[in-house]
Amino acid sequence: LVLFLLSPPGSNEYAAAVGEQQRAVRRFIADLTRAPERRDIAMFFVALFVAFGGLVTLGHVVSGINYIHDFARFHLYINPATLYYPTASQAVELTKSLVPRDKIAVVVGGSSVMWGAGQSDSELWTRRLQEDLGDRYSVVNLALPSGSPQEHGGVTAQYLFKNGYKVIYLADLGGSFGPPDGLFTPYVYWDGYYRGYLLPNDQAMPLIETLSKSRTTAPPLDELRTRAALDSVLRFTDFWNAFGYNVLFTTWNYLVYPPAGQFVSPRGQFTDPQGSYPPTARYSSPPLAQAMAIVRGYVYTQCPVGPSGPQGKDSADLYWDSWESSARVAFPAEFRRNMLMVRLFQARYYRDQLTDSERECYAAAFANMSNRLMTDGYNAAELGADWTAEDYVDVTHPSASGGDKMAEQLAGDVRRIAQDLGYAG
Amino acid sequence: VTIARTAFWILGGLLVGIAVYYMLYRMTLPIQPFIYQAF
Repeated sequence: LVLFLLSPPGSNEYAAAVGEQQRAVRRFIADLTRAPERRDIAMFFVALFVAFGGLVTLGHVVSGINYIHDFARFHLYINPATLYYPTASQAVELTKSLVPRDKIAVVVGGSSVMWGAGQSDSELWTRRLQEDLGDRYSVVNLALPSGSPQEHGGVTAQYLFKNGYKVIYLADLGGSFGPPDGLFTPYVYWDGYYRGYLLPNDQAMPLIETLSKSRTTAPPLDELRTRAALDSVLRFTDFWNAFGYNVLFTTWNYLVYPPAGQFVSPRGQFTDPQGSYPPTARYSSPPLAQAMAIVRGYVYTQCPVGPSGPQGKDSADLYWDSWESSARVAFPAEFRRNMLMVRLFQARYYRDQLTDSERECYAAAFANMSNRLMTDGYNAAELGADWTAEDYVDVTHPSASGGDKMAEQLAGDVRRIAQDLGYAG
Repeated sequence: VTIARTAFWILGGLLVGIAVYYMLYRMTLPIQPFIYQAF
């Protein structure tokens, strides 16, 4: 290189230097591209297994620690809507980091009602619940939009129960429990299953098999099971979640964009984007007819119109049969005493548009469900019957003021359950 | 040159190992487009 730089172009030294350079590069390329020898192949595979094994080890390490900070709920940037799929281990480690052993863990699971879809981070109803319950309790909100009781919250609560924690599990129930492994994110149920977090519940398997065949909201059952079994050994989701939270997120999706952050930005840099629900947007969606159909759906389960058809007795009987078959196996019997199944009346604004007899049937349907829940061994709570129009943002979701009422009523129920379970003394 | 050749195969192995581990994660993500419709 020195010869090359110092010799004037056209000189013999220059030509010799260039020639030597070219020969060196050719030798280098020829050497690299020569057919691999046994030794090369051995080194390649040793390196491959070292990398893979190292990552598996790291996956196991990160699945045993909590790295999610400032947690109040699985907000948009740490939930499946933006392709961040919290694993069962993450939900468990997160909860363990937030619940000291001597406190009563109040795990919240279920759908967007519990997640707090109509509330900003500071208005979040589980913050109020924590304040109302005081420091003997630790409230952790693991609900997700479109979540089911059997998913993140259910898996975590069962883990805590199995491991001797004092735990009370609150989840909301829409129309029914649905498939015993969940509806939109059953991956976490199977995560928990293969990691040994769940209580034994063989009774649920036949129904899981049956209902998975008609479930269009999640991958097929054999895929879910294979993935979870593999992941319980190799921990790839745990590793790449930790990487995506702390270093760099690897998957593009359309909900992550500036100014919140780039799609590659580590998810730990994001905060909960949910703002206060604008009062002017209240009851704007879904359209009135659709909202009324949702509300009337409950009416017909209790007071069917005629013997058959979608509003008839046949449909109502079918509904309650499938409701019962799911409720009886969705959770193991030994755990149901620790559970409070919450059902929230639909918004007053729509209920007020029912006829008097429809309103009676609506309330009776909720009471009917409460009775069935209690017969099956669950605790049951009904909310919203006396709330005002301002307490909801749409047909099913509580506003900030509704969240406050929800927290207040459920705090009383939680204390009663703690007493019943002998936690309080 | 032998060092470069050794590094080439070792680096290749490491990268393929990482890629396989990433593909396991990425190709098994339980993505359902329906989830998006809820937002």
